[in-house]
Amino acid sequence: MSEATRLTAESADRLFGEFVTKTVLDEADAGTWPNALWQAVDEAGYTTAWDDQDRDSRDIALTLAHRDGWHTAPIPLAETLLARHVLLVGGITPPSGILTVANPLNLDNPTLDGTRLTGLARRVPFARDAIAGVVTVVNDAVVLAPANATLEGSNMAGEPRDEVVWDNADVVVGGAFLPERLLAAGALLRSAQICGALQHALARATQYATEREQFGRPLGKFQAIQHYLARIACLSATSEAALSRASASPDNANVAAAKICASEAAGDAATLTHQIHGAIGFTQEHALHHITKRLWSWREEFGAEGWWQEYLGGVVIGAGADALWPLVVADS
Amino acid sequence: MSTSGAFDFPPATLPDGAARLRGDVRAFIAASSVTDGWQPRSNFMSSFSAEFSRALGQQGWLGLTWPKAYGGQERSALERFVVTEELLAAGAPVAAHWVAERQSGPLLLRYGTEAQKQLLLPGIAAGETYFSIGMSEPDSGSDLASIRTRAERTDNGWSITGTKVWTSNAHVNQWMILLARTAPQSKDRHAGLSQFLVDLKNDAITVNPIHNMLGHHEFNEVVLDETLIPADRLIGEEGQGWHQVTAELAYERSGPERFLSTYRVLFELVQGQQSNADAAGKRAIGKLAARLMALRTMSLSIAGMLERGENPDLAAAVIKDAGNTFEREVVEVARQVMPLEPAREAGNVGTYETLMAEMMLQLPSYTLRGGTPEIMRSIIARGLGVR
Ligand SMILES: Cc1cc2nc3c(=O)[nH]c(=O)nc-3n(C[C@H](O)[C@H](O)[C@H](O)COP(=O)(O)OP(=O)(O)OC[C@H]3O[C@@H](n4cnc5c(N)ncnc54)[C@H](O)[C@@H]3O)c2cc1C
Repeated sequence: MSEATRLTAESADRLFGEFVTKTVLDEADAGTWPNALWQAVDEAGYTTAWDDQDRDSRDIALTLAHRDGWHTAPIPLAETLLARHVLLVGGITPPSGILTVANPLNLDNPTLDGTRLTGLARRVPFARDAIAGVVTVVNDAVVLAPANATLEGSNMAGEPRDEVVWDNADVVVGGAFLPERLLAAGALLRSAQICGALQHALARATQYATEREQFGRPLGKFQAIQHYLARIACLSATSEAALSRASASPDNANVAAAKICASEAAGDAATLTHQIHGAIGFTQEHALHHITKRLWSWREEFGAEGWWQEYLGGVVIGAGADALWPLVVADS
Repeated sequence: MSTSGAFDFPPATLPDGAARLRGDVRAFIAASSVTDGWQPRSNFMSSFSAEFSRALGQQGWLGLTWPKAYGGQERSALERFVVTEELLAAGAPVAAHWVAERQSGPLLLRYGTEAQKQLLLPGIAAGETYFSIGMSEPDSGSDLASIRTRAERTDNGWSITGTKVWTSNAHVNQWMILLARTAPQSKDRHAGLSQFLVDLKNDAITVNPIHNMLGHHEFNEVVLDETLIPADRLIGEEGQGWHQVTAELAYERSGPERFLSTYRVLFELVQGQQSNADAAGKRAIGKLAARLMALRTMSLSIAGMLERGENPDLAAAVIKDAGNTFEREVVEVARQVMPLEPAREAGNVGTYETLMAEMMLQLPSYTLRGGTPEIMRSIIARGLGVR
C-alpha cells in the first residue's frame, strides 16, 4: 500500500466510522437518503478521486471503494467515482452531484438517434437519487442520460436498484468506449467493495468467537469454529490478492479474476460468518446482515462469477494451453 | 475492531532482469525436454534426475540467493521464485535437488557452522548434493514436538537412537537433517529439541523402503540404533531445534509447489477444450484460471517477504491450505468437463487419461506432506488470535 492510499484508507475509516452508524444503516434500509453521510463524503473530495487517468488515482478510488465496502456505506460512492471517470475518458465534463452507472448488460433495446435516447435500463443503482444523471455506453460511445427512475426496486441489502426509462430523452454523447470496459470497471469497483466487506465479516466473526462462550469456553476454542475462521481468512486473502493484481494492471483478464474470486468468496464467507454468529446474527438488530446482504448482492452485480468465468475461460481457451502460464505470470 | 485485513499479502514486483532470467529458464527447459525426453509432471517429487539437477546447477540457478562464497549468485528471492515457478509449470524433473535447495541449504546458511556451509552448500548449488527431511516418526506426525528419537552426548559426538518415517528419497540422497530430543520432554514441549546432519551413505543407519500406493519407492523408514556421529554435526544451537525447524517449515510450505502440483492437468484440460468448449467448459476453466492467478500473486508476495527477511509462516499456512484446495479442485473440475476414464497404463490413450490417473492417486499425499490442512487452519486461527 502506498503512502497516499494508506492515508486515504485512514481518512475514509474515520469518516465512515463516524457517519455510517447502525441508525443510518437502518434508516437507509427503510428508504431514507443518508444526507449527512453524502455531504461529508462529497466535502472530503472522495467523489472526484478518480477524475485522473493515472494509476495513483485508480488506487485511491479502489481504496475508497474497499473502505466503503468495509463500512457498508449506503451511498453510490463507487457509482459516482466510476461515472465521473468514464465521462472524463469520453470527453464529457461531469456535472456535479450524485451520478450513477447503468450496467451495459442491463440495457434493453437502447436506440440512440443523435442525442436522443430511447430504451430501458434495469437495476440502476441509486437512480432515484442520481440527480446529476446516469452514465452508460450505447453504440460504443459514452452517454450521459437523465436518471428517470420510473420503477423503484432494491437489492437484498435494500440499496436502490431502479428501472430507468428513456423515451426520446435528450442525452450528452461522448467519445468511443466499449461496453465491456464499463462492465469491467464496475466489476473492479464491486470487487474492491466485496473485499472490504469480507475483511469486515472476518473481523466480526473473529471478535464474536472470542467473546461468546458456550460449554464454558469462548467459541474460538472449538476447532470447528477455528477452521471456519481460517477458511474465511483464506477466502479474504485470495480475493485481496486478485484485487491487488487487477488494480496494478486492470486488463479484462485480471478484472475477471478479481470479480470471480471476490464473488465466489462472498457466498462462502457469508454462510460461515452467519454460522459462527448463531441466532443473534439472524436478527435485524444485529449489524451482521448489513454486511452479508451486501456480499450476496454485490457478487451478482456487474457480472456474477459465472459471467466472468465464461469470459475468462473463453480468453484462456482461445489463446491456447501454451499461453495460460504466460497469462498467469504476466503481471511480472 | 480492527479495520484492516487479518493477513497482509503486500504486492511484490519482480526486479529488472527477471524477465530475461525467465526467458533463459524457459529456453533451457524446452531444450532439455527434447534432448532428455522427460514427460512433464508438475508434482515436484515426481521425477528424480541427477542429470537435470546438475545441469541446472551449471546454469547457476540453484542457491541463486546465496553468497558467492558458497556457490550462490547473490541474487534476490524474487528471482529464485521465477526459476522455481517456471520449473514447476513446465513439469521439469526437479525431485533430486528440490528439498536441499528449498530448505536444507537455507537452514544451514542461517544456523550452520562455517565448516558445514563450506562442506555442503557448494554441492547443493551445483545440483549434486541432495537432502532428506528427518522429522516424522511412527508416533509423531502432525504433533512433531512429540518425537522420541534421542541424541545423547558421547565423548566426541552424539549417539542417536530412534526411527524416522516417510523420509522421502533417503535411499538416494546423501544427507538428512534430523530432528531429535537432546533433553527429556518437559512442560515446555518445544524445549530440548536439536537438529543434526546425518550422512545417509556412511553413517551406521538402516534405510528400509516403503512403497507408496502407486507402487513407487519414494519414501522410507530410517532406523538409527546408537548411531554415532561426530560433534560437528549439530546444526545451530543445542535445544533450539524447534525454533529452527519452524523456520525450515516456512520454506517448506510457502513455495509455488503447494498449488502447482496438478498444473499439468489444467494444461491438458485447456488443450482438450480447444476445439469444442461449451459454456460450462469455459466457466470451469475460467474458475480455475482466476484462482490460479490469485494464488500466484500471493505466492509472489511471499517471495517478497522472504526477500525482505520477514518470516512468512502465517502466509505460508494460508497459501498451503488454499493451494492444496486448488490442486484438488483442478482434478475434480477436469473430471466434470472432460470425463475420460483415467488410465494407469498408457495403452492407446492420451496424456490426459494417464495424467488424471496419476494425479488422483497422488492427491491424498498432497494434503499430508509438508503438514495437513487441519494443522494449517489451526495455525491460521492462532494468527487470528482465537487460539
Ligand atoms: C508423500 C509424502 C512424503 C513425505 N515426506 C516426508 C519427509 O520426507 N520427511 C518427513 O519427516 N515427513 C514426511 N512426510 C510426512 C508428513 O509430514 C506427515 O504425513 C504429516 O505431517 C502428517 O502426519 P501423519 O501422516 O502422521 O498424520 P497424523 O498426524 O496422524 O494425522 C492424521 C489425520 O489427523 C489429523 N490431525 C492430527 N492432529 C490434528 C489436530 N490437532 N487437529 C485436527 N486434526 C488433526 C491430520 O490433519 C490428518 O488428517 C511425508 C508424507 C507424505 C504423504
